[in-house]
Amino acid sequence: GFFFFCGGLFIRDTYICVDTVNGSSMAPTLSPHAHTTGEKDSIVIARGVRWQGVKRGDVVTFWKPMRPREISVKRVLAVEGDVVVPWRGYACDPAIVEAERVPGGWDGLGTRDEEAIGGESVEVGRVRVPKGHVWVEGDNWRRSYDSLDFGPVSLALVDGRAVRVWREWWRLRPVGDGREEGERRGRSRVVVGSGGLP
Amino acid sequence: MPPPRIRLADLLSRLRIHRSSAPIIPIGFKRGAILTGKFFLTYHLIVSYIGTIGPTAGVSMCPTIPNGYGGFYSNTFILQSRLHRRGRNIHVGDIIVFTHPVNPRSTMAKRVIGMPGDFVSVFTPGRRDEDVEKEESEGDWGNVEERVIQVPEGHCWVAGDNLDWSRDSRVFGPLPLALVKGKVLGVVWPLGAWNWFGSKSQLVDAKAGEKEWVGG
Repeated sequence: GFFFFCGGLFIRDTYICVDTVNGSSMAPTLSPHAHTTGEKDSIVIARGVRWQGVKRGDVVTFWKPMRPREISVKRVLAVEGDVVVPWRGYACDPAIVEAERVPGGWDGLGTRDEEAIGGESVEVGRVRVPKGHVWVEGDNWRRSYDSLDFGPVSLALVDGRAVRVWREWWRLRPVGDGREEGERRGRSRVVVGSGGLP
Repeated sequence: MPPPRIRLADLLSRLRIHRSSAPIIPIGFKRGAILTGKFFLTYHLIVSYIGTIGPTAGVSMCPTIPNGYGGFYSNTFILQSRLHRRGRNIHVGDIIVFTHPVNPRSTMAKRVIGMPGDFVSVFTPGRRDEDVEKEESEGDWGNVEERVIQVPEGHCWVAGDNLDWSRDSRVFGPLPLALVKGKVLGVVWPLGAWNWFGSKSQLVDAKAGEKEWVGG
């Protein structure tokens, strides 16, 4: 009995685990009816993401930067080296971008260099995703607390990748994207970088 | 069927006779495989959720955690408690083990200086390059740039004990508490460096006692 428990724990930590999606920040892809009927989807999460890497478009689970014991699930829009043009949030507010921020805080906004030749190095409205970080956003832009609010998320916080959704009891469908074409083109624009920082 | 009792005399007699067909320890292959599997799973449970002993390298926490030279077994080993993962019961003054926020494959151990809401000094007034040639004189440390920030919600500020040689929150900013893997309870190897912090608080009252001048 005890060893079945240990075995299950090992498999859950290393390979695969199942969890429910509580909020509606990923509607309509995950839990589309969470705010009306309260019915929640279960997702199958693949672990070992740290070694396989994360791609743009993956739905990942990660520990919340501001609440250390809670897990959040969102979609990765940009990886390290990409530039994101967010449609709202801290990067669009000139007061925040130009003010003195936490030094070494990897918020992607850059620091003003007085000795730089040829202009300013900080731009309002553009975020460069730093090394080892990803930019996550929820599919339901109306109700999503994501990178637009707390900035790029460290890859070390990413816990797993959602690979299947279990909504109807007879099948496991791939996660995909439940949004319509117009919504999918998104509100934050991503300028794909070369995949690494200079 | 209970496993046969293994007696030392039997083992020795088997070794002496050196029969190639008889196994040294009379345990079947299947039993051995199952036992190994059970051991491995229990090991995973203990190492991930309870505690572990592991090697460290680097000078950033000297003299609390000394640096070992030479091969693997002369590394300094520390005992870390995994009951303190993700910031449970972590207080200012604890030494924590955490995953590096920029390079997720590396793990570091540093001391917590501030918890959420605390005010910390960002540029600690340490020695800089141009200070190497300077003689001590009054008012010098007045030029050192100092800034104080408040640690944001869900994060902590870490610094090594050996400030001159430590890459810590002064480099990568506040550390999300979700990255904390455990708390260091003590240094267990080499035995000469045995140092047990345990759960006692390592904070020292700054105003108590006389000031100690270091370095003459």
